[in-house]
Amino acid sequence: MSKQTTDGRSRSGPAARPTRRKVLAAGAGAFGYATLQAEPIRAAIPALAAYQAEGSGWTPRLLTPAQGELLATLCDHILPRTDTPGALDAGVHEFIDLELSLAGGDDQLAALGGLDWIDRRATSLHGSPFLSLGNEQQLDLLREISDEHEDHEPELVAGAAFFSDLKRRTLFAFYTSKTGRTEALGLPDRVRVERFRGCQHEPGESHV
Amino acid sequence: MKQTSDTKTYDAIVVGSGATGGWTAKVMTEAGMDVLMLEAGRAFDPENDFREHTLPHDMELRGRPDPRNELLQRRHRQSYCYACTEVNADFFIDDVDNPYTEAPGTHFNWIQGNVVGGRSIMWARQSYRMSDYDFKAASMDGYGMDWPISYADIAPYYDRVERYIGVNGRKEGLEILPDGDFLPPMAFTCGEVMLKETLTEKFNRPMTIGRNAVLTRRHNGRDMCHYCGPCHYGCRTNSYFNSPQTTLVDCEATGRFTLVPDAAVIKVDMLAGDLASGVTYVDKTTNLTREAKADIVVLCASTLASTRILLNSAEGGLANESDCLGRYVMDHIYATGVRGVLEARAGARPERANRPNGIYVPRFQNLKDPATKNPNYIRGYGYQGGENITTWQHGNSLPGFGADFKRMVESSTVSTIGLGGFGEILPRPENRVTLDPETKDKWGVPVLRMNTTLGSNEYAMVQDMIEEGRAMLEALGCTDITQNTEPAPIGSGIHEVGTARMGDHPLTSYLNQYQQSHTVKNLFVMDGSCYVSVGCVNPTLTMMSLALRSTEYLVDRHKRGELA
Repeated sequence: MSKQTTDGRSRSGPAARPTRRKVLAAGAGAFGYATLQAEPIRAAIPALAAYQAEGSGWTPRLLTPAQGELLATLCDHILPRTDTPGALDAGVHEFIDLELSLAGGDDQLAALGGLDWIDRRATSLHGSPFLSLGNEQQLDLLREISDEHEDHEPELVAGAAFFSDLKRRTLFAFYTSKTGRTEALGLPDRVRVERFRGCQHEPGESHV
Repeated sequence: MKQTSDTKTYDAIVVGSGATGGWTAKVMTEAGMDVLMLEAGRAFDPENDFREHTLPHDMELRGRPDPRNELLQRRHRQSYCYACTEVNADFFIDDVDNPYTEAPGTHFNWIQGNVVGGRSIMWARQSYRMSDYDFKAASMDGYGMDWPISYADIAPYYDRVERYIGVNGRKEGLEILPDGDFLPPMAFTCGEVMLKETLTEKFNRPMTIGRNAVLTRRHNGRDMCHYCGPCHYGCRTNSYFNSPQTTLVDCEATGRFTLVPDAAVIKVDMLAGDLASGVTYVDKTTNLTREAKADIVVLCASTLASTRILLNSAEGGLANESDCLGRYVMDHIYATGVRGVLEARAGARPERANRPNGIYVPRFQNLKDPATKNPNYIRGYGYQGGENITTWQHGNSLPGFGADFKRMVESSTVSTIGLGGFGEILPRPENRVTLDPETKDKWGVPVLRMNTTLGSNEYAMVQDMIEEGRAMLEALGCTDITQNTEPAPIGSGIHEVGTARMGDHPLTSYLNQYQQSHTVKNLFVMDGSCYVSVGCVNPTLTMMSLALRSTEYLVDRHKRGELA
């Protein structure tokens, strides 16, 4: 896989081109076959070719380009673009790769093992790695290990632990980014002079 | 910056430029005395070194500890403190060059400044008066020793310090927490008003807004707070009290003030007989040892740093006939408390203004009213805390992922109410610092060995802190209440005091009530060393007020020639 495809962040403005998720969703819609391999899909989708050609120049520090692309896709599934920007718009995957590259060996092994777990699970369910799956298949796989379930089957515990950790990392990386802070939370990008008002209710008035 | 002259004899040397050093130097220079101040930390420039407007996205790791940051790596102990981050790590001391040791099985967190102004740059600014419940605690419950002063002795000095530094707060008329001369109080949030109403109605307990040394209006030529939040990174508008932007400016204006940074004092030098002649210090810019001479030596190096200097000044400790030097280490019980979710405030929007303050629940146990007596422990604790409203952090506990999840994160908030206890640690002689027989700092000076533990009174107090805190949060209607029952090691409160306690008798105390050595009359220790008992309120306001009182005594005796 080309390393240029590992970044979903647009240099020409977030709305200018499709996100990775949309690209993959388009792939699933156009073919809908779980068994199709990644490379043929890429070759067959003009939008993805354009996306690859555009490139981001991101070189992961810890991850391989393939792992970087998987990470980016997972982050995009956790915090996709809605009416506010998504994880890829804020370079969340780049931050997580940077942070992992500086982390202790245990954290690195857990993250690498987790990415590997995702692909092994995809292969065992569908016969191909995660990025080759259609969007709904990807989401179904992640729903199995999401914390929306309280207890996971033993075979899913490791994946669930990884996904829970990745979710926390993604939330932090997105909402502490300038994009997340300003465009998703609506906070100013610089400190401004403020006055603290506090409670403005009359005595006896409800604070709820 | 003027260089010290090895031949000149100053009227006084002040060791340390923090909250207390600034006050004593201000009073002496304004009274006409020629003062040399030696500061172990570096000089700084507010324009470049104050970075309070740093936001997470200005930092590559968004403020998480960066292993590539050597300054931070060399502050592995200092970074225990919430205020020590990559933004301001060099305000804190280098742990590699400045080690200390701990007796087996004990732990101590010693957080120290490394900058002109010392910890007054990074302090939490909470400013409360002690009361006679503290100064006369031994008379009430029989443990330890009373202070040689009462509240009436220090009250006028509290007034003067508060007026000068600017302390905001609300008068409450409580004997346990005497009112001060306050700037307008900061506001409660709605959740805090709800807590206050609960405490009033269901517990008959007072709660007030934190009293802190931040300007809520323009004061003494300094601008009011602009509510950016992290005061511990410095303040370019000079809106919280620190010595370099206030007392040291006044010192400089007298023309009788010499400040030497990077000057780490090793020991007090003595004349033949019982008089100090000056100090020996390391010039950290050259690593050369130098001497400075003065008629009076005032140590304001911070409690344990001053104690270390005195222990290094003579075998067994200088002027230590009482054997009090290094004993009775106190701090506040720290890190124990409760937090709960206030469902009624779910969805409340946090203010953009970042109030650098919280709420305060004054001590309500073991007061004069017999109904407040707790049979399990003596003394008491107060709570500091308040309402916190998340902006996104609640996402960590929302289930799921994807577009709906993200919309939920961005459209909801969670309000939590926290109550953190600050409890009195009893003065016990066995809680002690000594010189380590082997370890030396970068300059070959013996370092401190800490030997401190919490006792049964403290653990009983913690249990009550948790039970009462839970009861108050439950009465407020909080859910998902969590608690921390494990107090942090002594020192973690960064309120360490007591290692040269004051008293009327030279055999049971190191200093007299004016923070003057009982035996070396031109030697003073005007930081927290003098504490006899620690009470449960933050100590800096009291330390500054004591330094003001003692320095006026010093100036008077100096003018009468009684200190030579």
